[in-house]
Amino acid sequence: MCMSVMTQEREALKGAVADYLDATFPIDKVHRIANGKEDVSAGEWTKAAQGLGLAGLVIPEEFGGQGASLGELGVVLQEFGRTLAPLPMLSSAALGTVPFLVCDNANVSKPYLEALAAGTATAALALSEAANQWPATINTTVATQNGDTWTVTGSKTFILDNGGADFYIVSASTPQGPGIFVVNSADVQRTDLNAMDLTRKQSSISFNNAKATALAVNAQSQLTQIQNLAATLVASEQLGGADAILKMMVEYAKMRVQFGRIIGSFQAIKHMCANTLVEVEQARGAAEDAADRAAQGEDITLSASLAKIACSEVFSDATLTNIRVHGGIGYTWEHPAHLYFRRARSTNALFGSPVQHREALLVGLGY
Amino acid sequence: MTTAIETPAELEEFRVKVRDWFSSNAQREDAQAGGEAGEVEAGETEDFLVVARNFQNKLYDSGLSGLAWPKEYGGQSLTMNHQRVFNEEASGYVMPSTPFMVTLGMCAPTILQYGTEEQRKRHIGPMLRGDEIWCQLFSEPGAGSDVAGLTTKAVRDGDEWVINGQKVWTSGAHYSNFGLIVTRTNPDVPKHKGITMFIVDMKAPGVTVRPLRQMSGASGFNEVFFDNVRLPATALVGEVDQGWTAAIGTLMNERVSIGAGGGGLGRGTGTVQFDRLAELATHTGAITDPVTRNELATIWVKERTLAILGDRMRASLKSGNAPGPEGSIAKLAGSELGSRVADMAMDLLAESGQAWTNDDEESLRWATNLLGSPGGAIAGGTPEIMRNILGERSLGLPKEPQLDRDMPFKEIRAN
Repeated sequence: MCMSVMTQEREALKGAVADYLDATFPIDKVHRIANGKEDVSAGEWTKAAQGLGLAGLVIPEEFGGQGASLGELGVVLQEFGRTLAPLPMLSSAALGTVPFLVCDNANVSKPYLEALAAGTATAALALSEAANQWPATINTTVATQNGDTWTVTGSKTFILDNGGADFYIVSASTPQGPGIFVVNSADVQRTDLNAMDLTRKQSSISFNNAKATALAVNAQSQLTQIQNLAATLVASEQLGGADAILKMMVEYAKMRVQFGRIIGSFQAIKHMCANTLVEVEQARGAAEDAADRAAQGEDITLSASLAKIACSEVFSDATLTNIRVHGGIGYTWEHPAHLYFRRARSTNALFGSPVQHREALLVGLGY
Repeated sequence: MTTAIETPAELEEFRVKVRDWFSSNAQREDAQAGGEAGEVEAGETEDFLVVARNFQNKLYDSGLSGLAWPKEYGGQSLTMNHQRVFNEEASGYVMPSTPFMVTLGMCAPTILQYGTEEQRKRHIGPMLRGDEIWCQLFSEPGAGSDVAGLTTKAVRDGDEWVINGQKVWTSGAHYSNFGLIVTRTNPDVPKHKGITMFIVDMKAPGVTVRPLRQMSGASGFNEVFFDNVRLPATALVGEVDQGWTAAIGTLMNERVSIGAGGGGLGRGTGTVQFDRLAELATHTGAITDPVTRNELATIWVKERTLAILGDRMRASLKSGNAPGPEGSIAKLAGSELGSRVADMAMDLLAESGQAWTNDDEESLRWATNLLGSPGGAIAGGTPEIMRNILGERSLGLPKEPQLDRDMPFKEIRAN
C-alpha cells in the first residue's frame, strides 16, 4: 500500500529510475561491492547522467540539467534508498548540487553545474567540523580574500563523498560572516573514515591556503537553507530504505513456516509488520510534504526537522524489526538486512539526529 | 489526484469568502473556555446540540457545507483544494462539529455509496445542513471486536421488516433522528453472509435509548433496544444478506474520521494539543527541562504527521477513492497521540492533575481528557484489531486460523 500523492510524471520518473537500479544494482551485487569483491563499473555515473539525466536532475536546463523540482529529486532519492545503489545520487546530485542552486550565483556556478550535469565530475557537501553539532558550526575553518581570489584553511569531516569527489563545498568564516566556497579535490588532504555504512564511503578533509571559489559570503541564511534541504533530502532517501525493509519483512513473514503455520499469521509477527506500516506511511507524508514545500520555496525549517525525525526513526525501527522477524538468518553477514540497518544508523546521525532536530523544532516554534 | 478544475483566482476568491464568513460567524478558539482538550466530552448537552445545529445550518446556507459532495444531493461539487482552503481558514476557530461526526463522516458516505437514489435525495442534503443527525447501530453486547457476530434479527413480514435485539456503544443515539443498523437476516449461512443493513427512524415505536455512563463520568453513548420495530421495504440499504460489505465501508470511514479528526467536516491542519501543552509547560516552568522539551517536540511531530496523513487521506477519498484500510493507520496513530498528550499533561500538572480547586479549569480539563483517552483507543476498533486489519488487508499477511468462518452462523459458539 502506498498513499503517495503523486502525479503521472513523478510515477513515470520513479518507474524509470526503479527499472534502471533494479537492473544495474540488484542487492546481491550491492552486497559484493560493499564487501570489496566487486567495483562499480567505471563510467556508470556518467551513463546514468546521460541516460536518465540523474546527475543533473535539479540543475536548470541552461546548464545542461533536467530542471526538475526538489519533489522529483525526493522521489529519485527514495529509489536510491530502496536499493542502496552505490552511486553519488545523494552525495553529489543532491547534497553537492543544492548549494549551487541556493547560492544562485550563475556566473560562478556555471562551469561546476555543467560538469555535474554531464556526470563528468562530482561534488560533496562538507560542512561538519566536529561530531554532535547541528546545525553544523564553523569552528576553525577560515577564508581569506586576496584581491579577487580566496583561499581557505581548515578541516571538515563526516563527508559523504562516495570515495572521493572532484569538488568540496565548504563553509568558512570570513570578516563578512559565514561564507560558502568550492575547493578542488587536488587542493585538499583526504582521509577515509571507517564507516559503519558499508554501502557509502565517508571522509574527512583538511586544507591549508587552498584556492577557493566563493559561492556566497555573508551567507548565514543560505547556509541554513542548505542544511534544511540536506535534512529533507536525506529523509527522502531514508524513507525509500524503510519502505524496502517493510517489504522485506512482509515477504519473509508470508513465506516462513513454523509451528505448522506461515509466521505472518501469528498476531505477534503481524503486528510488528503493521506497526512498521503505520510509521512508514506517516514518514512518507512528512518527507513528501517537506520536499514539496521546499520545491515551492516555502520556509522549511520545521518541515525539514519533522521529515528528518520521522524518517530517521522509522528507518532505524524498521531495520531492527526486520532482523527480529527474520530471526537468526537476519543476523548473518550474508543477509542484506544489516546493510540497511547500517545505513539507517548512519543517516540517523548525519544532518541532525532526531534528538537534535527535536530541540531545533522547539526553538523554531519559539520555545 | 489532481482533479482540480478551479483556477488560482477562483480559489483565492473562495478563500476570502471563507475567511469573511468565519470572522463574522465563528468564535476564535482561544476565546472559548475549555476547548479541544476536553472535546471528547463535548456535544453531549442540549445546549451544545442547538449551537452545533445552528452553526451547521448557517454553514450550509452560505454554501460552505459538503464542499466536495455532489451538487445533486445538496453538496457544492467543489474540489479538494476548496476543502483544503476551507480547513486552513477554519483553523483556529471553534467548530462545534462533534454531533455531526458520525452523520457526515460515516453514515452519509455509506448512503452515498450503497443507498438507493431515493435515499440519497431524501437524506444527504438534510445531513449536510445539520437538520438530520444520524447514529450507527453496529456493536452489540455479544459482538464487539467481532461485529459480524451480531444477533439483532430482522425478519421479513409482508412488505415490512421487523427488528428485534440490542445495540450498544451507540454515540449520539439519544439525539439522533436516524440510525444505520446492521441485522442478522439469515442464520443458516456463515456469519458474514447473512447480514443486512437498514435505515431506522430513531423515533419509531419499539426503539428505546438508554444512556450509558463512561469511566470519565460523561454519557456520550447509549444502549439501544429494538422491540418489534417495523421498517418499510424502502429502509433497506444495499442488498438483503449483503450488508457486511456496506458495514465495512462505514467502519473504514469511521477510522478515517476518528483518526484524522473531524470526518466529513475535515480539519486538522494545526498542532492544537502541542500548543496547549507548550503553554502549560511554560506556565509550570518545565519548558526548560530537556526531558520535557524532548517529549513536547515528539508530540508536535506526531500531531503534524497525523495532520498531514489526514489531509492525504481526505484528498484520496474526495477524489473518488473508496476508503481503504488507511483509516486504521490514522486511528492507531491518533489514539496513541491522544494517550501521549494526556500522559504528558499529567506529568506537567503533577499533583494538581489528580486533585484541584473549583477555579482550576486547566486541571479539570486535562483530567477529563486523561479519563477519556482509553475510550479513544477502543472506539471504532481496538489497536489490536486495527493492526490485524493493516496486516491482513494492506500487507496481505494470512489470517489467524478461524474456527467460525465457514460454519453456519447458528452453530457458532457465542457469549
